[in-house]
Amino acid sequence: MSQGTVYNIQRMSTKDGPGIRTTVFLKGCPLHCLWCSNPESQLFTPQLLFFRNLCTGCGACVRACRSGASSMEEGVSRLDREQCRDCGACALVCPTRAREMSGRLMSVEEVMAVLRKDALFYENSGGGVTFGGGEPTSGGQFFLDLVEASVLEGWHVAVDTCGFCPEERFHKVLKMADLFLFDIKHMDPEQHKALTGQDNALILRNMRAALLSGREVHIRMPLMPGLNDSEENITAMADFFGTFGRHEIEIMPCHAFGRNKYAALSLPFPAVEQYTPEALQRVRERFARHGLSTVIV
Amino acid sequence: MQLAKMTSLGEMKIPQETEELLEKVYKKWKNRTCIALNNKMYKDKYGVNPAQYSKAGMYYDNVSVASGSGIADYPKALNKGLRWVVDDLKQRLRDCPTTLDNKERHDLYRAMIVAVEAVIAHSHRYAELAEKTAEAETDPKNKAELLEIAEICRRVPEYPARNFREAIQSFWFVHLAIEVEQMACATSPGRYGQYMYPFYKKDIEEGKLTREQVITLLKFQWIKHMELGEYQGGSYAKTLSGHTGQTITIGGVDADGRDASTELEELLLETQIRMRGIQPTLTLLYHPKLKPSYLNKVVECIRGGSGQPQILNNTVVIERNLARFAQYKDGITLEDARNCGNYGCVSTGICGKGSFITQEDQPCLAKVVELLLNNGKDPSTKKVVGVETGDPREFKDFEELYGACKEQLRHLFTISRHHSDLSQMARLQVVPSVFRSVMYDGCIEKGMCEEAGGTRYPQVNPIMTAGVDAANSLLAIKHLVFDTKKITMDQLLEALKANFEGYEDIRKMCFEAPKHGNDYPEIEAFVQRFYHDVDEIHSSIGPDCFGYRTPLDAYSLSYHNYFGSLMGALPTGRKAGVALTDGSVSAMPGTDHEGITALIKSGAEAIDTVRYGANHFNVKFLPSALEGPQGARNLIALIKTYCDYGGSHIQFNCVSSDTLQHAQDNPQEYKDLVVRVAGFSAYFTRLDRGVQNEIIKRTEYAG
Repeated sequence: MSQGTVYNIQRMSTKDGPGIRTTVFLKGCPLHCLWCSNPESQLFTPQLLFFRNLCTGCGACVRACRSGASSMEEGVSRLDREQCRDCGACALVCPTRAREMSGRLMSVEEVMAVLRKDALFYENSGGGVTFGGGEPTSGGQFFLDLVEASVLEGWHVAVDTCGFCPEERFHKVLKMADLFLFDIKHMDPEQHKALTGQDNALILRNMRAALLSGREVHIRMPLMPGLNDSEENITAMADFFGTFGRHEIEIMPCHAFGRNKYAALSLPFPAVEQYTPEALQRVRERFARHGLSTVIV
Repeated sequence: MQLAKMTSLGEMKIPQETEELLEKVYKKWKNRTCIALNNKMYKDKYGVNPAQYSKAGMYYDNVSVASGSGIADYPKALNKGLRWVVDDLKQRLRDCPTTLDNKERHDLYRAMIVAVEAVIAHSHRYAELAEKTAEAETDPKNKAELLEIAEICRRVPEYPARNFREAIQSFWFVHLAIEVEQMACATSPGRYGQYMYPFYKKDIEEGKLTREQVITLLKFQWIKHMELGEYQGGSYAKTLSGHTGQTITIGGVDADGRDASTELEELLLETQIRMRGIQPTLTLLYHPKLKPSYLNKVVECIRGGSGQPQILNNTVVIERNLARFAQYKDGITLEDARNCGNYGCVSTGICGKGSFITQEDQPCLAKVVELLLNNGKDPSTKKVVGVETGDPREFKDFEELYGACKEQLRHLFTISRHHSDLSQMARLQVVPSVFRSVMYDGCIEKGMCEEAGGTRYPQVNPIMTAGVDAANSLLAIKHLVFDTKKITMDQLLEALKANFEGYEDIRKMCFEAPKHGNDYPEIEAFVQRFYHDVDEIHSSIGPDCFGYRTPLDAYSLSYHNYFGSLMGALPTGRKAGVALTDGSVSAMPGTDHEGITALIKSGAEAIDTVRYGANHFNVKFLPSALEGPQGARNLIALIKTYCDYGGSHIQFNCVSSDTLQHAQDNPQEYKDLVVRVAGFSAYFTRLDRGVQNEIIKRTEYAG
């Protein structure tokens, strides 16, 4: 059976599709969006997170560290990222979970064992399982095996995707999964590349395929002040989705909830602005003028 | 005396003269109470003063307080009237053979007639006062209202109620009389929304009342329930927090198994939404046939944040009734088993035909672990009150230790059972309840008062607390001392003795050790094994004072707080004096990290809820997690799945902004707290402080 890196399995997940769900977060993403709120999901390998506010200075990490990356400084633990090899020895002994590994290599069967635990909750709530990330489709065969196994269990399967996925693989997923939470970031290829590191040609081809597949597709857009909310981009979106008879998108306005995770990875927090309620309202009206209604998720 | 003035509404203000009177009453009764007699009887019979056991915190001797809790036959007063009851009693007295073996019966009927006449006279005093006040009243509207009050109080509860207004008054006079005779916790109105429904339906159909007027009347009733308070001593105040447990049961099925819920019950929910009161409390008997619109009203009430209604699994309650009463001489009918209700707190029984004896001693299971680790000696009182099961350092393996634990359990249950059974004799002698016996079916027919087992389905409810603390303690010892050998028994004992002072590392290990509530199969299997053994040992002590096997009621009230104050540190990582775990299948605070579905599965399966008399499960949630129609459906799905897994009781409490504030200040205690932030769930303690502040602000839900 195939294996892959999973960085979280969230039981009682309620916003990633209908009902009570379990969401599997696969680690690794081919895009690197400026505003990413889950920075620990970008790399495909396990990484150490260090939440300084939870450290009580017991020193267990220093004793466990095999690479000399951990030391004590004024009664609190310190982490030298240059030295750290993300081996996770400190996370195993940290009593407060201030240090924690993000990402674990798991087999399909191991993931399925966790998913099966809440099967009755899915059934009673009209829920199911969701695969997210990172970018779940980047999990390759591991991801396809998980989707297939879930479909065989009779569960409702949702895929939360950015659409940057080889077409052949994407078409396989379209045949199996029930619901796609499909992100769209920008309509202009150059702008898209500037914001995410990749252009949008492949994404738009997959989006077309999804919209024509007959599967349920929720079009989702991370909305970033000054980055993708221009008149021009919104016009292009309305035109594109209008040809498929789609006039509603789900928007996710920029937020700062990932801030502590950037700190935990010793990464600088990206300088992305946030909307004031009034500014957000103006942007939503801009969508509405072009015939796209918006729902905040 | 000061503590005794605590009620469910807070500290009670009592005038000086009343306080003096209470002091006089206290002195007069000091050595003549049930508990005094009970302890003397125990010493005479077993040669030991039992006070040492309760002082050590092995059990709470509830015998000092009034007994008799359950659901009276209110429909009898509403539909037949108390005059009919007096006539019936007079006839029975005449028919009773005048032989010496019938002396008790004669006395009881005579006393009952006096009591029922007194209740009727009490209502007439209200009528007289209203008439007198009306005479002096000049405002015609007020005058008419007073005369209506007078008419109603002349009519009920003496004669059958003719409309909703009379029915609500009749109900209240009867309920008040029962409470006044013996102010006992858990005197419950039962299926109020069902026996009151015919009166409601008639008035609504005839256009005599509007729904809004009904809600106004119910609001008045809510206030009356809150006026009642119990004054039964300091430790009682501590263990019950002044809770009066007047519980209205809604939902459930009728005698033929059909959905019994009514429109009036939706108005009870609406009244609770508007009143946000703490008395009466509402309990839903959940079953899959309840209408979606009705369930939505339930969800609306739960979301209001008062924790109401709490949920009981109707299927489990019926099975429990069938199992429990099958052993009784006359068995039980299916119809009676279905006519069940919540007696108060979380325990269950038959409406109108049964009551339970609360004066059972109420054992603390966590104490068993403390005695086990101290070779039977209580560390605080320094007395050997348990079994000398040997130096804990000498146990070769976990099974040997577990065997010793079972010996301690057997000892605890034996003492509490002996003490409890004698307490019933003491109560029968000191404070038999007469009017209550009139109102609980079976007592009149058998000519026996409630305390003697006169009701059709009498039951004893031994409330048992802190099972999760005991099981978690044993799991920690197994994991740390025997399986991983991270520490020795000696190190553990030293750390516990020092209340973990200077042993912070051991405390952390203890706290991190496997705990109930995470749906880890092997851990939950042990919790289930422990609860199974507890029940088996308790049953093996022998039958209760009525001669039957008594199911254990596993729930906490505020006992987890009371017993916690009497206990030293535990291998769970809990420090001395701190409250134990609430409920009986809830997770120890801060130790459930797999989310609410894992907690619900673990909680539902921990106890065999049919074999036991109750389980008790509190779940906390953030209001924002269950917003909107999908949120409502999810909440209902959580309830349904909990019931599918065989759980008996579940109560949802909203996490308040105060809790979040506390979590921000004490992140160690809230590792499990998951909050929903835009688009994803996150552990609260790992969020940026600014984001935390925002969520705290957002969580200040109305009320």
